[in-house]
Amino acid sequence: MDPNFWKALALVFEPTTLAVGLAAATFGLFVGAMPGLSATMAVALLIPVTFFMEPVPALVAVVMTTAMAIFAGDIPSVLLRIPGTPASAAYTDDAFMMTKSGRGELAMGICLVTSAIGGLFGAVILVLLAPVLADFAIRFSSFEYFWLVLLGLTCAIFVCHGNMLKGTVSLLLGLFFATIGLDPLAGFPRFTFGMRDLFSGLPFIATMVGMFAVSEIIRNVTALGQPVEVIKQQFGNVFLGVWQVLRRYHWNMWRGNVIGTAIGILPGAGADIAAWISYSVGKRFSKTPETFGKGSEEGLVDAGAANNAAIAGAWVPALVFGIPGDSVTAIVIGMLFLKGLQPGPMIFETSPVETTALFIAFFVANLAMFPIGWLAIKASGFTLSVPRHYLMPLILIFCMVGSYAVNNDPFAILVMLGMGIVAYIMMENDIPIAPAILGMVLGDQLEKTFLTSLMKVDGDVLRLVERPIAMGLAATTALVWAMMAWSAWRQWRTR
Amino acid sequence: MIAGAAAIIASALSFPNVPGQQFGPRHFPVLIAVGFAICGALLVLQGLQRRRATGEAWVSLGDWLQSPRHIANVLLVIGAILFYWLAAPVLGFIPTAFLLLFVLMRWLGGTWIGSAVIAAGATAAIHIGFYSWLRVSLPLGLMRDVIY
Repeated sequence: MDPNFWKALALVFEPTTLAVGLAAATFGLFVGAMPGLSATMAVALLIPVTFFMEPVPALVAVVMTTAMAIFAGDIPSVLLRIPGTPASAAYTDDAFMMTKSGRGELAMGICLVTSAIGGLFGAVILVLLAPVLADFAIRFSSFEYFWLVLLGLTCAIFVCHGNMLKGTVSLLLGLFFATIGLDPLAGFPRFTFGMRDLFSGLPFIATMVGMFAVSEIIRNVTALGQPVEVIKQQFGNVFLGVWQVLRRYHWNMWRGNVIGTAIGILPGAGADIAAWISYSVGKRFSKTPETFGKGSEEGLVDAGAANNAAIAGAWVPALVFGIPGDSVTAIVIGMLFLKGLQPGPMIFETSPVETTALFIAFFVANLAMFPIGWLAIKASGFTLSVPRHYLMPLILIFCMVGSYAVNNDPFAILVMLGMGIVAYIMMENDIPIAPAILGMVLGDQLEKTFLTSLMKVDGDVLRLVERPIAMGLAATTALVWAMMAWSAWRQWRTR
Repeated sequence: MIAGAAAIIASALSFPNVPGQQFGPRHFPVLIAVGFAICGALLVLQGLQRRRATGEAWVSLGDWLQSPRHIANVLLVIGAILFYWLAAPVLGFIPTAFLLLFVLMRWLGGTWIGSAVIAAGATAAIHIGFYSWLRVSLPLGLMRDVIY
């Protein structure tokens, strides 16, 4: 066995790392179970704290938080008919209807078990696929990277169901934010208005905290006082009957796992889109599609198996190419750089112990989900009764201290506020946030690879596709754009 | 959006060219601005089409904008962040955080005692966590004399 594996295993099972993992799991469960607070927000709030940790505990903390938050999002779906995170939205009606018809325990059990199995499936794919892709990507030059980044950004728009135009606006906004600061080639300050604080660009963590946490706080305080129907339920053995359901719908579960992982790998699409797509595929192929949305166990299996599988899938492009698969990994890429772990095909050579530890963390997190998730279900009554009027101010102060803490920079607090307001306005106008985040993370790389490639070929744009892999990536990008244009044209005609 | 694109282009055109190089700091922002302008134009067309079809208003306000209480909630959250930014360096983290938490919790519906206890507990926990454990230099302000 590879000696790095044992080193990584020892690091993951160090008492401090386990304690950090447990704390992160509790935090993830809490945030995930609170309606209106997302897994991405949990990670955005966690990053300032991980800044002070060693790389392995930091990675374990992120993996634990994300996995638990996505699962815990199902808890208020079952009890309140409100998804805890957007990843649970697809099957909230089914989960709640099951509770109303006295099958709440089974609904909770299906959510828990499919989440854990989905997470493990995604982890296996991550372990198998990422190193193979890295071997392939090692031959990439600026040409291939340019097309790959462009393809990633294109996919981020493509997955914006319903309104790709607004997705494009979001992406352009992110790319524009990425231009703030010294330009990557000549070092000339752009859009800094003479402020030295902006020379190194918008502070990344404060920006993420603003966009994912402050915007949510604003949204929450505009909805305080709205009544919700809560079903009081004591949970006994949630695993009772789950095996029979999974045996009946095992094909749905595996299909959900595959769809979830694949969607996770696509840049910009995360657990929420994975769940929606898997749910609609399940409905299309179901023998009883009329039961979907009315308490269907099948629908719950389909979507529940997909969202947690997407989490690990999203790490594949993030690790191998530095292209985030979802909003969580977009934030995590910033953290990897801060920890000295440069994402890219060489990461498995330069940081073998840390990457192996990351893989192990995924397995540990999803196996630990069985007991920890079960405890969370037991404690759900308490979690859901935490009053919002105390919680929101607490999250707000944590946002401010977290944003400030990374560089001891008060300016970061203003950036956090500004970006929070921008993100809130975007959400209110149905402009998706994920493409903007991807644009911000990849803007610098896109500009650098684009301009250096153009310089190499003396400005001849056609020569950007003269290498075979670059040509393949360019053709795929063009195909996705053509599909988007076709879909937009059809929408336009049918109106 | 179109106006924003024009502003970006105007600003980007003032960026210098790098001697001896074909491409410089201005090219990428100009490309983004062109994209903004196109999207802006398409959004206007989309809006016009929808307005013709459904008679939808140009601007529709969120429900919460009709509730003074909810408007005040949002303004208070924004005010709280600005207050922290201005007051923390002078007053120090502990009094600023306590005051901010207490006022926000009370305003949003917390009880006097509940708000005071949770605000005090959270302030202490964050101070211990970040200042003592993580060694973040949270501003001491007035508390400098009390601590030292």
